[in-house]
Amino acid sequence: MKAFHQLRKNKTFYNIYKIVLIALVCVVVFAFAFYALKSDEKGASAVLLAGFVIWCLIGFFEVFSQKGPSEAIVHMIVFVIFTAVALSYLYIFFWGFTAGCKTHTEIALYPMALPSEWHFRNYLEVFDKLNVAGFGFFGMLGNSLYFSILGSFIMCMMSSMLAYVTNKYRFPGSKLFMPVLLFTMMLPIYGSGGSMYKLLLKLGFVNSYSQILLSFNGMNVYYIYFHATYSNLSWNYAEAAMMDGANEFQIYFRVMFPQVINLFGALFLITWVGDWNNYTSALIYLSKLPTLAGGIYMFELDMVQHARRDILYAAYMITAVPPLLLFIFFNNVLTNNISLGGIKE
Amino acid sequence: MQRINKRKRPTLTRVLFILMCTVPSVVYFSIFYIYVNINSFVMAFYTVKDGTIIWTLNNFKLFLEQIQSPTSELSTAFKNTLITFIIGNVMFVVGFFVSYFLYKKVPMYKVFRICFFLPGLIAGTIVSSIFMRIVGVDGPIAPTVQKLFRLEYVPTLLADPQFANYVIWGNMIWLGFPGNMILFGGTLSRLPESVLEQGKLDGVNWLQEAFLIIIPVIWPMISLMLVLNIAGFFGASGNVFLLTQGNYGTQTISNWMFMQVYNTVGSVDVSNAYNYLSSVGLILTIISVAVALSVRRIANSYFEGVTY
Repeated sequence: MKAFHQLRKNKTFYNIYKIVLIALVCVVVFAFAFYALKSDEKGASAVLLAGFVIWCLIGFFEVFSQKGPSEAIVHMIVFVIFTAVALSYLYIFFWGFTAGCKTHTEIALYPMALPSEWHFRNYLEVFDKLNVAGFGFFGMLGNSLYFSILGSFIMCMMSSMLAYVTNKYRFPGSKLFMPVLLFTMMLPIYGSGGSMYKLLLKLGFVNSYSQILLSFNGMNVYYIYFHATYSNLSWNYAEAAMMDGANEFQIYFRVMFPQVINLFGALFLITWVGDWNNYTSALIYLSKLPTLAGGIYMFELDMVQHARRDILYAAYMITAVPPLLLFIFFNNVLTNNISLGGIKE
Repeated sequence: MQRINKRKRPTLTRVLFILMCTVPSVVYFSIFYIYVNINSFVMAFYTVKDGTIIWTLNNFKLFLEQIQSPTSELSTAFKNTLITFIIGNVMFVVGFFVSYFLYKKVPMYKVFRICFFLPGLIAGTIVSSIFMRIVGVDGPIAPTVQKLFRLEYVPTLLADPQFANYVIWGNMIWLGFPGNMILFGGTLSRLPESVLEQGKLDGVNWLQEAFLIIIPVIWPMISLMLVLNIAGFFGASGNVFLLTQGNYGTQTISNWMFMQVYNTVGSVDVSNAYNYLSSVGLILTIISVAVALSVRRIANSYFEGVTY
């Protein structure tokens, strides 16, 4: 074990080790896909089991070569638990994808089996069959993009601007925003859903693109994140810009805001994913202007009646692609830029 | 914190900038928080009959009657909410340790980090729909339950009051396992390396490092999150709407309130459901204010180190 740990420190060995690991993963994935496409469940299961054993062996070597005995045992247990949970999450996607390639009857009779015949065309049929309240796939996609991208951008920008101005400027009420926000977070008021719906109905915001105006709200939890970040941002940058003749707008947009762009990006992405997947308010406020998240739920009810669960799951998987792509490309932005302050110095 | 001196005469540009940054949020807050909640408060005290407003306390009476009946939906909702809340807080602790072990670079931590994000990236409707098939009669779990309980039939787990709640809580535990990885992960990544290095030089083991260094250092953030969790007690709910719609004894308060709005969308003017919802909400708010203030007072000492 110790020898393995020493060898790992050698850059060439470590690179070869990584290449071997990646090659092993590729072999397992391709072998699994090979058996799965042949609908050979025994072969696919054997490959999965072999992959799992290899995975655990790698974990075992990694842990015991780097940690002391007691820590290594705990890390090994954690590693096994994490593996089980991670596999269960991956299984959702695998199941959804294979269900989208089955026939409706197969899904009903053998939900856990591999497709006897792969119907990849289901994924193309979605674009024809997906229709909710007169909106097809691309119509709902447009609604989703409008509300999730524009709405998230406006909301994050409002939070950032409000946090900046209340942090760096003194004006009547500037110190009120944080306590008021914390008060509303600590003391949630229940049961106002009916009142909110009535108001939005009166304002004509229900089933309307004007609902985007609800995003002009900087007083939300993101305000706290931005406030913490702006607190740590030196005012000297702004003073230097002022001496160069910049006005408040130029100072904010050209000097200060670019310094919190990572946090802004991370919060924007989180909000976007949340809005993209938000089905609860979409069901109530956008039932005739469906987004993909709300529309897919209504589509599910419709598909049950039409006995086409294959199309339903294909639609689900297609809808899941944008957030997945986003996470693959930006997962470091999401995971390394957000904290709530609150670290004791 | 450096601020612009208020004694300096503000320029028009500065005033415009401050207004542009603050006015939209203030307007939003005034209309969609203050007005909405005041209106909700007023709605609790009347019902509408044939288009005429009748001021009454009947909404509150109805709530008290329902809550006293052990078989009523609201009574079940309270019980389920309490259990869900407890599970949620246990999962909060589990979630913290998941982030901790990822931070400590358990083997393949990058792969796990990506996998643990997956359920949060896709719509709840998708995960729930697939989950329903897996726990369905033809899935692998229902026959196992049949064997365990020696039943003569394969149970429809989500449509059986004996099992439905357990399935929902199981779903909640399963999906809640990673916890708030973004917040915990972000905070842990900001831990000063020098503190941990110093600890190592002083000979602390990994257990001491976790409980005597890391947790105390980030305690302000943890306690803030805990207090917010407790304050949101009545909002605790699993995927009840998507899995059972509150049927089969699975109702929670949060889902009950959502269903009140959802089911009445087409008949706002003739239904008193919103008024009843407002009265229930008012009572719950009073309770949660009392709870939140108590918790805040108890936890006050832990907030000293918070830097926003």
